[in-house]
Amino acid sequence: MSNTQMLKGILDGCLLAIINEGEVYGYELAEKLESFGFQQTSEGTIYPLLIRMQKEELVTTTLKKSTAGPRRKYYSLTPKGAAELQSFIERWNQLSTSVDHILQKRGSGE
Amino acid sequence: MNAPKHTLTAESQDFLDNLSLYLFSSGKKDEEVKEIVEELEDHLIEAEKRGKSVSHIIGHSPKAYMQQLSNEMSFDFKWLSYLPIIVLGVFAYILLGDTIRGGVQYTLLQGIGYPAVCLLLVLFYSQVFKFLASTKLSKTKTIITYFILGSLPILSFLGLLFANDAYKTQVVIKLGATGNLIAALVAVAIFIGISLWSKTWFTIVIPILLFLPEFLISLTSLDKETKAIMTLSVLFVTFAVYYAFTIKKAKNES
Repeated sequence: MSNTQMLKGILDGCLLAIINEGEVYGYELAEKLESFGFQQTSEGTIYPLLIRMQKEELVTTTLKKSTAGPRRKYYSLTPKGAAELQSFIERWNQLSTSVDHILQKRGSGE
Repeated sequence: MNAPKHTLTAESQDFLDNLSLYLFSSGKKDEEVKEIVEELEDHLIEAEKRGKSVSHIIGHSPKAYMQQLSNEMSFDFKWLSYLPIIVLGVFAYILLGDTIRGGVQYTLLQGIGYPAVCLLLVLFYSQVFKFLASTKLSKTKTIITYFILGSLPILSFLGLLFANDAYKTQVVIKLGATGNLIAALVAVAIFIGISLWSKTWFTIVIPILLFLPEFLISLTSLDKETKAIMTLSVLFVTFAVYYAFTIKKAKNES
């Protein structure tokens, strides 16, 4: 399984987590994601996801004037988005514990 | 529009231009297209300032990336809502034409046929909307579907006209002078209604161009042939004038 396939779904949760820390715009979001080690995906990958999350009312956007170039779109979490983040964290914890267990078991040669 | 302080490389600008073209021709909502193109423009400006390449942002296949964006964006159904109105417009057009040309006189087939065709078309369209909303068609298929849907009202009314000539049924509706006047007023009201709804002069100007000269000429005491020739030539002249006027107006606005 390729990295991209594995990332699908997880990326959604990560975006929610970053937006939860405070209002953020597209480029900033991509940079933060990269700084956490998501270097293999192209930066633009976040936009289709953001459009969907906006449709599902997990995030809201506000347009603000930027110093250079076009207006800037800032994302913030809705209550629905916060709930979705919470459920993502639970699902992730459960999944990562299970995966850890399996890998540790194999690693210890049982 | 203000010129951005940072200009994009040709490659980035090309990508943005292609993206808006791609999304517009996929029938996406204008507002959504503008938003995402603006957002990506901002992203590309920031990225280029830091020396990143376009492929670092959009991946190695621009086409695949455009497709990904397109998949998340909604189709603009605004134009589809025009179709029931077209049905109504075509009906008003037939009605007005009949009141001028010798009065409304409908056979059993027409009396049942016109309302039935209108109703069936509206029901059919509402089903098609639901289908199209949940299905993703290729570009060619979408264009063909638009074309068929758009020509359907005219085709069905024409079909009814031919059927009426082929099968002679008895006359059931024959309007007198008052009846014709009311029918004409109803048709005019429909045209004005559509014009107000669509905020265009189109449905008022076209019927006037089509019917007013014919109506005025029919009032004269000229013989049949002269009337027919005059009607036709006046029609050509008025359309030529209207066309020239529209082009001039469009040029002035641009």
